[in-house]
Amino acid sequence: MRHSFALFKKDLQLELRSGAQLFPLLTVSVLLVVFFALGIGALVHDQELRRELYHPILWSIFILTGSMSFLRVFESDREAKMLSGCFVFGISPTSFYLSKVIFITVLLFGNTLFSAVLLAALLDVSLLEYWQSLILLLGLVTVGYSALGSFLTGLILEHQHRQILFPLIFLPLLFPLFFAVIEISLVIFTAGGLLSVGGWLSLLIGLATVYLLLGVLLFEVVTKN
Amino acid sequence: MKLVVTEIKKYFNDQLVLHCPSFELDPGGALLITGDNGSGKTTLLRLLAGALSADQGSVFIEEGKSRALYEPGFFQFSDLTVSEHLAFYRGLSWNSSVLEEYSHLFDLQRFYSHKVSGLSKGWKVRLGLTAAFGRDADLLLLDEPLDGLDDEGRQMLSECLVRYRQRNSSGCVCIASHEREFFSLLSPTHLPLCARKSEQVASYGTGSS
Repeated sequence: MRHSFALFKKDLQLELRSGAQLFPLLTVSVLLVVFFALGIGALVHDQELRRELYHPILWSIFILTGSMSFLRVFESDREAKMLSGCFVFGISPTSFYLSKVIFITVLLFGNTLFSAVLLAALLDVSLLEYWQSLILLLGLVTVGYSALGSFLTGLILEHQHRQILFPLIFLPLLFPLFFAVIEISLVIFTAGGLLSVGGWLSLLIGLATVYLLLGVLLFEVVTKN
Repeated sequence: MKLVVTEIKKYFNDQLVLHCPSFELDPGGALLITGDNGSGKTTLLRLLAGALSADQGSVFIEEGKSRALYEPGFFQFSDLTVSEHLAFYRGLSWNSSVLEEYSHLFDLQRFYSHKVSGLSKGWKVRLGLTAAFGRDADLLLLDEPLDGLDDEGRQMLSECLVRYRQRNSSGCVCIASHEREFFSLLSPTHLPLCARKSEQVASYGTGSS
């Protein structure tokens, strides 16, 4: 964990200095939120329908903007040959993987929270009653999403066509996560509370755990060479 | 530390990029790898470093022995300062005092607050060499370490090599370079690699050969 922390700290320092990850992510998220809000606002006047549309829009924005982040976050490490370096200097590649999962989780959590509030404001949807459940859900889904995305990015990092390959591999694998999170957030907003979600929540926790374990156990094996 | 290499071949996209004859390096030994561009010097160093694995043949290094590699740009981030790099290396279990010692030998403290993107090529090389020497590894691998260094930097590098020898008498050093004379202070075994892989040299000799 000590090495993971050092690697995370390095990512954080680079981000605080350049804002290279957060600013583009935030800009695209705001633009998407505004586009969707304008479109929905012009076509849908029923408040109940707006509330229902809020969830798929929010999670679609999360997935689209998040999938942009992975290769960018790994880029400076690719240039510095960090993964090769881990094998040379005897640093566990799993530490490197965990540092990326933590960094991307923090990045996407902050960005999505901002998008959620902005979208709610523009669609006139109140989050006041549900914010605790929403934050818990966001935390859970971001961990699973970052764990899977970081694993796949490490896998194709040195591939010549990684920009094309990444969404082709990553997005289809997100369907279970996507459906689970939409179902859960809909139930939260109608029935209230995470506890009333049942099976979908178990699926989401299971997926996040499997993705994280997959990365921890296999990242070193798949990135060797 | 003993290094044993049995005839290795490495292919990239079905193309043979390295064909290296078998050789051994005894504890405290030094190896100077020379050859034309494309002869596989960097690939050989990466194989010895454990960053790549051979398609044929093997590299044997005793269990538990540490390795360090210098390559241009290796473990360097343009938006971090020199002192942040040193702190980063310490966080990754580099020995603080050894790292400090080599950073002083390379005179890096003058640029502690400078970002790597603002450094000249020579100073980036010095930072990279500081990281490699500062790891205090049993096997030290340097890829074209003189490239970009001025006279003062070259003097510092030879001083670091002497210091490494004193500190780690059983450690091995492998250097890829075109400048054989400079490294004669290590009395290295000479391994010439050939760019035309089918005519790869089948033997190696001493520094004077």
